[in-house]
Amino acid sequence: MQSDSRDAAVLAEGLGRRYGDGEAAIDALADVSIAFPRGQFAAVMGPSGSGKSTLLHCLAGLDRPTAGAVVIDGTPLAGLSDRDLTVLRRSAIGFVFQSFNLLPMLTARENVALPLRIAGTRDSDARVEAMLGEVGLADRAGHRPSELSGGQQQRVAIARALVTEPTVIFADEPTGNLDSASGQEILDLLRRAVDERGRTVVMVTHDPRAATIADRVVLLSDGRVVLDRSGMDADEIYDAVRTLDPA
Amino acid sequence: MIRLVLAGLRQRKLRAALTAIAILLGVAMVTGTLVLTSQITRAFDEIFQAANSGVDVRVSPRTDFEGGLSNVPTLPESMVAQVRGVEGVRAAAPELAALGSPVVNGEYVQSTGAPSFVFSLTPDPFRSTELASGAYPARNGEVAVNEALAANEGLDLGDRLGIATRDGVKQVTLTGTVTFANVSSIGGTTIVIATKDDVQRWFDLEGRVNSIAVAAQPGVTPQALARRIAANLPATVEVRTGQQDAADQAQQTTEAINTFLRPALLAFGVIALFVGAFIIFNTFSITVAQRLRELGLLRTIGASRRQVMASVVGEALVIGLVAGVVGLVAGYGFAALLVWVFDTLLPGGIPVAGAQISLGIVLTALLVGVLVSVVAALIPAVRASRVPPVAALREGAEIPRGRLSRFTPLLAGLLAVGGIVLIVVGLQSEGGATRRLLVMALGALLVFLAIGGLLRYLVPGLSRLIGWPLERTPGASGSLARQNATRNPSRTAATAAALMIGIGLVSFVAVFAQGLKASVTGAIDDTLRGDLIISGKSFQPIPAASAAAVRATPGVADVVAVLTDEARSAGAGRTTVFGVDPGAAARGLSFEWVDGSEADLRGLGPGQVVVEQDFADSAGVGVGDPVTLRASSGARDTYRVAGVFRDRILFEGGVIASRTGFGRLFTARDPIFVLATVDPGADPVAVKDAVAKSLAPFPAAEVRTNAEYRDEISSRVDSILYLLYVLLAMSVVISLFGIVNTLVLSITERTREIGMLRAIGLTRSQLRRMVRYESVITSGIGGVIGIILGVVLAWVFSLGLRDEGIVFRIPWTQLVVFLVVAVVAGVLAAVLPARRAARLDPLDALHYE
Ligand SMILES: Nc1ncnc2c1ncn2[C@@H]1O[C@H](COP(=O)(O)OP(=O)(O)OP(=O)(O)O)[C@@H](O)[C@H]1O
Ligand SMILES: [Mg+2]
Repeated sequence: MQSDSRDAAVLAEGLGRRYGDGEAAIDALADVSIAFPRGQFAAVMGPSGSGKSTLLHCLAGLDRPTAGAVVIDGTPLAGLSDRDLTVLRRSAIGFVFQSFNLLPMLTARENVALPLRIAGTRDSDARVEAMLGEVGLADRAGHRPSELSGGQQQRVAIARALVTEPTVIFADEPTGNLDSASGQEILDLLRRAVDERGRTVVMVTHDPRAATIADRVVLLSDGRVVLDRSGMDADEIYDAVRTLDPA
Repeated sequence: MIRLVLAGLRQRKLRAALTAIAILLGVAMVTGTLVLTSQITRAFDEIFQAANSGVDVRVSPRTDFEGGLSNVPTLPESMVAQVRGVEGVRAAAPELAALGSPVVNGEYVQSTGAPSFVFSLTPDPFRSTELASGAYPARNGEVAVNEALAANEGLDLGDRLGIATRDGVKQVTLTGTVTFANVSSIGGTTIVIATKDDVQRWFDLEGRVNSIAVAAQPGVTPQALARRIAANLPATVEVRTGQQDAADQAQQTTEAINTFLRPALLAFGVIALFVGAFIIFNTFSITVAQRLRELGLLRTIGASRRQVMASVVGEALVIGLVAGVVGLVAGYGFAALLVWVFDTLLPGGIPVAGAQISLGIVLTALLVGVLVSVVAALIPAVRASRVPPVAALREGAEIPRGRLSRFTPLLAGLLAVGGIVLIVVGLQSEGGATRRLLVMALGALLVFLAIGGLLRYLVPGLSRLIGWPLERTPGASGSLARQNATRNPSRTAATAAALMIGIGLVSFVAVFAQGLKASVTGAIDDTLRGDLIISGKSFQPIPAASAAAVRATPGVADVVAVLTDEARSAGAGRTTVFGVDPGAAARGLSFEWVDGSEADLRGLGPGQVVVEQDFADSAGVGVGDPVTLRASSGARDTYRVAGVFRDRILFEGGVIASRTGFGRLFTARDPIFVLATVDPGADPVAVKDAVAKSLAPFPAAEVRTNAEYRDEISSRVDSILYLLYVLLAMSVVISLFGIVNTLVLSITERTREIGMLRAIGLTRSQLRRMVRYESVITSGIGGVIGIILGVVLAWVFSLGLRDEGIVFRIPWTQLVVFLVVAVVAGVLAAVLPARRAARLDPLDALHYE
């Protein structure tokens, strides 16, 4: 399944992230080697503190690993300057956060256009409008975040992540703050991004039902990958998680 | 509560420090002023004490008021013997003092501003100087000079030097150097001590003395002796004890310092405090808004409204106290800075004694710091007390707005109208200058407050305007900056308002000074028909003989020598009287005649005067009416008005008499300036060079073409302008800290947003640019509104002063410079906040609470 790792959208080799040093050092990640091929929807699961967010941050170049290497779209992150890393994030990576993280003073349309404006892209209006249409918010384009529901805000965030046509989208508990109906809409949007546009999605989630929409489930425990399987159903995922979670 | 306040301050060290700086500088300016002015008054005290050491009683001519510059009242020398004959007198000696600068190696020792004294040598009990080297002059042709002068000019004992006298430059030999009084500096003042006979001859005072110093016999009190001497002398003399004399002289300068210098300097400190208050208000408003949850929590766990309010006021109190203490120390630095500024911009300087600390100054510093800080924090404190307990639980809770807040625009409008009314009233009213200025300043203060209150409504529009070029730059920094600046208009407005005050006042003085220069130079062009102006290098009258030398120069066709002195008259009060040769004056001066004509000036008799319209109005006289003038000697005479002219600048409120008529009342013989017209067809510049040669024996006199004189006046106005700029610059610096403070607070508040922006691809430099642009938009708003406000205020002032001949001129280049300064201030203010923002970890975006 991971035979063609050189062509992977995201590739990690022997990834480690250690906090602190000496006796008190904590390995949030330890020797994680994993590849996410293009066009795959992966769910990352595991108990609280198992290193899911840390993995996502290291893969996205937001956090520097203390061991191992990350390659995005064929580009190794290790040697990149802060500036180059930022530019890579801008073009190859999209983010969806648990708490939406929209700019309150911008309208939905402006929030979606933000990454393009940051990149200095011209004539992006049509793309932005199309993207808003795709997440079903064409009629809310002029509203500010405070005038939108949580689900709508998260849809704006997804449109913002997709508008730059990134290779990979990282989502850290994107449904964590939403009711199940809104959450489902978000999951559907991510699924469509994979199916219709060939994007790669890496999503952290605590919810086994949400994970069933993914092609593959990666289970972390104490900073290590303890399970990596495709085609699991909700019950299998639930059991797998429960065996790890002492609670 | 106190522990809570202190813990809060410790946690927000940077903000607390920045906030303290905002008032600290104002406190420093206020204490610095008090320190400096007391240094100056003490220096004068010491000088006058020293000048009167050994003098038990002094006899001098009686003067009713301070005469003009050329007024030198004297007594007959024979009176010295008369005094010696009074019982109880141990010794009496004549004293002479004149103005005359040393000339070293043919070079006039120029001391613009500070006086150059020539004193006669007095015998021992009366000596006010101490010998530093050599000996006092023993015979005519010998002098001693002050030590600093000898050192500066490289003079050694036995060297020859010149003294510029009324009778040309006299060559003398240096026999000694002296120190004067126990002051660290007497400014650029020079002192020459010569024999009594020399001084009398040089300054045409044969048989006259300026005063008589008297020492009492043992057992005779100065008071008793003074009474006894007074009884033996005519009523035209004044007999005072040495103590009294010193106190009176010191009192005069002290009064000048206390009524002019101190309030003028304090005004700048008050402006700085006013700016600081804006910043405190803004900072506390922001932090209260940011601490809603914390304050709500305090309420839920049982704190009363009053306690919440006290916690905010307590914080302001601590900050004010710290600012007071540090400001006190910085005030001594500021006093030293002022001495340096005065020395640089107004060479000649002011005598200054060592700095001292007093309880009054300490208390003032602490009180001012605490008061300004607490008053400025009151509104935010009240607002904090309105935070409902539920704010602790709810995200995005807001403080309920006060019931009165919707009246803010109305209130601000009323303030603005009130302010303008006050300014107009101040301009139009008749009262004393200080009172009028105070009224106008209060008006300006209200206008600034009003605009500060209204500014929030202008912030969106102005941000769009100023942000326009920034939004055209590639990347999103420009528009994000603009949107950040407008998302909280009151915050941006209050921050910009602080800068607006400084820039507004700077613009105001710039416009006003431009108008003043235009008025004065215009008046020189309009009034003076001549080509050359001869005047003293240091505001002193020039020897009468120099006027004769000018007249004798080939190429000079006509000369008007103008004498002046001060007089009092019923109705018009204090008046400057000019003495001229009527024929020459009619040829050399061009007036606008209200009543009468140039012919009346030409034919002016000894019993006649022509008067300026202002004088005619306040004295209520017209052509044909009698005018009684009283000189400082007490002499009075009545003249008939022959004509009324209008000249708002050079002769404003003045009276012009013929030389003979002038001589009836005044003793002044040396002109304050001389105007010369060149022969038709002659080159004024060539004639000017010839005149300069003729003036060689009178190095105190300087000849300039009208154009050069105009430039000289402009540059004098400019040096005062620069002094004002320096003093106002403090306010601009303070407002800069305000911008830093607001940005730092906003960035802390937006940590998560910034992290998100970084995560989705905003580079560090784009982020820094975003912060910098927001800062520039804020400072740009302050700059633009400040400049507009300054120009409008100056326009209102010029309207009010139109009658005084002040015109309205806009110095465009300077205003553009001010705008650039505002923008640069914005860029500078952004340095630290931008760096802090760039250091933030993008991961913060992903760390949820
Ligand atoms: N900045 C940090 N300093 C020290 N330790 C950290 C830091 N960030 C994370 N850790 C530790 O690293 C480990 C992994 O944290 P991480 O946030 O990746 O867990 P997670 O799987 O995302 O948990 P959750 O499901 O609660 O979000 C934890 O033990 C955490 O305490
Ligand atoms: Mg996590």
